[in-house]
Amino acid sequence: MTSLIALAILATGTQELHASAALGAAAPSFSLPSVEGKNVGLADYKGKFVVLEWTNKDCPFVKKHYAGGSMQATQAKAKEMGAVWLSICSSAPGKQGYMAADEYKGYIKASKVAATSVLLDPDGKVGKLYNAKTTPQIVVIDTKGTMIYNGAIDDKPDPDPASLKGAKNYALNALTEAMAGKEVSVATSRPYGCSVKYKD
Amino acid sequence: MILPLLLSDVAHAKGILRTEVAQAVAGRPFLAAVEVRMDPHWHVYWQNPGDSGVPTTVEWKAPKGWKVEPLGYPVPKRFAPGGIAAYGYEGSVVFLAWVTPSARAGVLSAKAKWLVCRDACFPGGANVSQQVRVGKSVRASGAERVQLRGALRDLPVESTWPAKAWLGKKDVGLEIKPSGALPRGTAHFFPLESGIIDQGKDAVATLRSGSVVFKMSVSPFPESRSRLRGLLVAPKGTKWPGGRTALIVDARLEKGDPR
Repeated sequence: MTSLIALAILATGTQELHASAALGAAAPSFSLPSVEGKNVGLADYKGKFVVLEWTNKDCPFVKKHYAGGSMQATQAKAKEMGAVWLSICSSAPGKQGYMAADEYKGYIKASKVAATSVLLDPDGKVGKLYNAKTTPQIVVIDTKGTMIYNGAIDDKPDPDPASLKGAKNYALNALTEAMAGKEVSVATSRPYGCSVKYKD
Repeated sequence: MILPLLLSDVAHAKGILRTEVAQAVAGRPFLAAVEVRMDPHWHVYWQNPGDSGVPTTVEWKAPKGWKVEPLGYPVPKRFAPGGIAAYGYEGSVVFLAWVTPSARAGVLSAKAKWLVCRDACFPGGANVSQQVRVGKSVRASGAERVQLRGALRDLPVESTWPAKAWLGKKDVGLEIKPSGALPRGTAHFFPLESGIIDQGKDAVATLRSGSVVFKMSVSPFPESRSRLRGLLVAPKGTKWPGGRTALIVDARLEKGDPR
């Protein structure tokens, strides 16, 4: 049984090495454990819009979006629009923002994180697959499984909470336009924030 | 408003105002700088911070009638912790400006903002100021003059070498035709703007007379640009003819695959 599981993990790993996320192309499939201990992947949400958000609770840029409830409001809004929101933590054990599942559950509750699910990617495979460079970074996938946005959360690359006011949220922008059958006007932007704390 | 905590300059980096004169003369420019000093292994960022980070900025303020002309960013280093590229500075860096005083003495001040990172990042900054006397003769500030003039001599300058660049589906190319006696080794290219090349991969080229070619990959976050601008950095420990460690290259970015 144990060896079977190991084989399955190896197989996924190999697949991931071959694929790479490109704008306008099929978003590469993945499966990651959620903090609730369930495996979650794109295959679970076929036919739905999916937002991926890279996060690290101790990064000042992530704090900017969470401390005043802005990120949580964006997550709630996206879900209200019918999208699925998956927050992903690619911090390696011992690096900033890494938490084991139980600790993470406490943080989610305390910070009122409103994502559909929070996924753990401690070996960084999925982060690297999607070119996740910073926290926060956003990927939007449409109902056909095509990556329609990859980049910054908004147009204000500044850790100052005052910069939230009047910022253009690129996740909501992509969802709104794509849901209206329009082409996404901003399909990419330079991700800003802290570097993702991958293992060395 | 920035939280007071964010502007604290005790966290891993501090700002210091430097002037090369103790007394200036009206109408005669002198060098001033904000020096950012970091704890060992911490860094602040260049104007293009790379794949993460935030550019360091300095905003000068001078008495009415004075003129302040900030000079460009010094040559940065490239770091790639965990495979994510950063362009920035370790140890100490000075951000220079020419200051031309009027006949009236006054306070020269600057506000610097940075993001200082090691494994973690902290936004920080400093408000620094100094009273500058204006008199009949210049009184130099010895050590500071040496420091600031040295930094001035090492600022990047525009390259006069022909350069062309092309943007293919997957690759970006840059060809430079240098002249003069070139140092030996491997040159680096640091883009001034993000969104053209994949910064996660170190852009290097072997130096040979006649033609230096960089083959790079397209950025995963492509932005529409008509020019490829960046620093051509001399091999470690060497300088370009003319004595600079980096030259500013500005090439029209042609669409199409390398020819």
